[in-house]
Amino acid sequence: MALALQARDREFQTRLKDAFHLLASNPAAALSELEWAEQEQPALERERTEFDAAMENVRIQAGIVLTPQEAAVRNQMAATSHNAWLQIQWGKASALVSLNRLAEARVVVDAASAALGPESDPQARSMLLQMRASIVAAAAQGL
Amino acid sequence: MTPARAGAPDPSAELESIALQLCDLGDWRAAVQVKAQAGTAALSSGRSDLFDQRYQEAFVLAAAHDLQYLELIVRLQKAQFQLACASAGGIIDSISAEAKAKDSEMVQRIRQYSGTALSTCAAIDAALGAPAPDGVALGGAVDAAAKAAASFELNETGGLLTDWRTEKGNPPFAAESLDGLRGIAARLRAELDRRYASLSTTADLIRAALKAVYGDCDSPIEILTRAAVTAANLPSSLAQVYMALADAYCARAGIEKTNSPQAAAADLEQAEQAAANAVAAVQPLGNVLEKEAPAAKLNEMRALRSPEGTPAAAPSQGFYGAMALGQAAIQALAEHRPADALALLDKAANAPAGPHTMALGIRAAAKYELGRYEDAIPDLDARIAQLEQQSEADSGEFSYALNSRLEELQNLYVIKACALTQLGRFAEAWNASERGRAAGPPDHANPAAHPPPIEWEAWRAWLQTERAAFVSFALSRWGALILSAGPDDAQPSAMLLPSFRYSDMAQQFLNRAEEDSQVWTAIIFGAVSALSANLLQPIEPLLDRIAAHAEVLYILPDSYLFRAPFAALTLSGERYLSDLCPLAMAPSAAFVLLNASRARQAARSCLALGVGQAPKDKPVIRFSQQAAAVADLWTAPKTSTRLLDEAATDDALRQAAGAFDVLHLSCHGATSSRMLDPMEASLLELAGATLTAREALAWNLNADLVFMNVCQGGRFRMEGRTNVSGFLRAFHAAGARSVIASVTHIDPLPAGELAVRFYRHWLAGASKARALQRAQQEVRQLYPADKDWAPHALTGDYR
Repeated sequence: MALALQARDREFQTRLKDAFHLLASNPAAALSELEWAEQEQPALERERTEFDAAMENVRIQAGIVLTPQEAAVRNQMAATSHNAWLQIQWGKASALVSLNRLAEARVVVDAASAALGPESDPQARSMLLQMRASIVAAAAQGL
Repeated sequence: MTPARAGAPDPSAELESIALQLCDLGDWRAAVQVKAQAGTAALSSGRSDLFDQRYQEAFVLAAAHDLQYLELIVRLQKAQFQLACASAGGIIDSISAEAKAKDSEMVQRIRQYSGTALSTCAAIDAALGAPAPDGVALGGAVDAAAKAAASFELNETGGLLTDWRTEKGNPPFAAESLDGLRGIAARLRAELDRRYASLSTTADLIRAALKAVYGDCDSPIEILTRAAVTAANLPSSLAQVYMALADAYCARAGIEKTNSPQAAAADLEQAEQAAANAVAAVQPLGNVLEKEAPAAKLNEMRALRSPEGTPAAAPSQGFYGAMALGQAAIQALAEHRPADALALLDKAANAPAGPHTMALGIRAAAKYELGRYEDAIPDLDARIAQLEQQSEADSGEFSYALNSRLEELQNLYVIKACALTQLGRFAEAWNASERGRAAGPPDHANPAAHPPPIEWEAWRAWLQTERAAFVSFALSRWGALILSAGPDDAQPSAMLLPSFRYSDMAQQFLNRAEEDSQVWTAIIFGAVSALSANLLQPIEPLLDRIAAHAEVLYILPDSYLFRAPFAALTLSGERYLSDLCPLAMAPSAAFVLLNASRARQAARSCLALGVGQAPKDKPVIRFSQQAAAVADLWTAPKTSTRLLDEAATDDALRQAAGAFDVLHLSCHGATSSRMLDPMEASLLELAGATLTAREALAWNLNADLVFMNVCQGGRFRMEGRTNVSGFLRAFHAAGARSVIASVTHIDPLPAGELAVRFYRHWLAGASKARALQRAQQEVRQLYPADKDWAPHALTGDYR
């Protein structure tokens, strides 16, 4: 199970990275990859959660307590996952702007902003606000 | 600019709202960028008032948060956007004018910010150079450098400095630790140098493009050549500079004069070399995409130099492509292949026409050459309309760009007048000629000094009333267009003299190498014989007819003919033109009527100025004596005032000039061919100071006459083809009705004699033109050489 999860995660990370490389040269292909990543991410998360739960059971049965370092790694993993989601939303909006599908880009950004909430990480909110600004500016140029 | 659609959300307001949210989040960097976007969006939706405001807020925000690098980047973005607007609009409007005004400020700011940041590295070096580094001084220097690094977005280096301060920044300092700091400071300096080079190169690219928008072909090449040195270690920037340089050479080649195909070819060779340099610049880069544009540029430039001279593929794209096709068309025209020229221009038709594309003018010339006169006129009218629209926005301040546009406009009017002449529509030809002659930038300070053109009927009526005749010369590649009329002619005569083309004597009269030397006078008078034979004698019957019943013959020259000593030109039988009829000169009929309409003064008062003496190779003659001799002619009840020798200062002249009917100036004068501004190039040597034509332009005169008994007082650097400048422009614009001056050097003895004799005739009641004619005839008896009796000419009102 661990090896399968590792392989799936590796594929996810690789394709996500490639998608960002494609953004400038081939936004349509990048969008397709980002949409795959967006669908893949919840399944991957679910699998990871299940794995963590299974490992937790093993640990409890063995009477092993989670060390602070292991807890920190798990929190970091969660943050990385959140960050990946944010990157995907940003990347999708960016690709849609490049394809001049501005209304769709705005929907993506608005949905992501709503999902983040007003109390979330300022850096993430700033990132989405900047994307919204790019969309508005692009629309203004097309007036 | 397209106004925002009704009901559509205002993008600028939305961006402004986003910028405020980013401020709330403390992301100042993003807020600055979005503020700038709000400014750009405001202009795109027609809110030019908000454009500046939003950008200004962005600058203030950046400065308030030490984001100096970002501030500079945004300033450059603003300039680039303004430039794009000006280019896209195809007009020189207030937007690009403002960018021009900010240009030097931008460069200064880049220097100032970079200099301040670099000084922090020097401060570290200084602190490290002390025998025992002081902890407080060193700590302060490191903090300042860290701040400078942050403001220039050099976060990694800034982090190294902060870490050093935290971990090793307290005495006693280990030698290894100080070496480490030295290394960080060197790294920061190198990075700041690169930042400076990058910003400065971007500024130069903008400045060069801005100059190109203004039609200046030379400055972009100079600016970009210097920028290539600055950007030597920045491959991407260097490639951009070289590509722009290739375009700049290409553009200059495209507007080379028809008689400079060699210069155009040399520029195209330089353009190809610049493109090759761009390719070499990106060679070390790993990114394939960055290599595409330079490679394409090189192909484009190579195609331009293809043996058939016809751009192959890329040049039909874009502004410079159209220019290149235009260049090929000009060359075809120069080689008398008008059909080829038209074919090339058809190719260029799909390319977006830039603000200085002369395709319409070239097309018209090609059609003219093919005998399609009627067909040429719509093209001429279209290009004339473009140029006149541009000139409405001109400030009037002299620039090569403005001069180049003016020259093109006046060329087009000459072609139109030629075409109308070929069609037998002489009155229309006269109107076209007059429009070209009266064209020029508006004089905002003194609108009356630049009168609008007048129609034939108004001119005809004036000629009849005043018993005046006129002959105008316009030089073209097809010959001299000669328009003329006598006092009683209902219609003007028009003819094309194929034996005298523009190029025939241009080299002689526009000899910049000799203009400022004593040889100049010999060159000008050496041309008398050829000018008489080729320009005047073929139209002698015409001149005889129109002058037969005229009180004055107005000569309206063109281009270098303003430098011709018309009084000395001869007709058959050694008759001088000036004997045929009293002569007067003017650039246009509108100029004549403007000066004639000024309130006439009786010559009651004279201000005679004299300072200096004849050059060493002449007998000692003090100009003050000559001026005094003139002043003596004003006997009671007339009055005269003398400004002689030390009293002849520029202040004294300026203060007194407005109160006299006649200003007589006897002093040294010169005109330099090397000054950019023609009004600064003409000067008089007064007591203790020189007076430029630019200064005299601001005077307020009520003079009926200004007599300049001064070397080259009437010579001026050409503006366009028919726009007088120098002291002729200055004194007329300041209010003088007539000016007598010489385009060449004068010998003081005959010149002094001529002045006295002129005044005697004039004060006895003769018109100025008649008085000058008689004085010249009399002086000719004493000094038979043309250069002695014929250098003076009268401009403005002849009476």
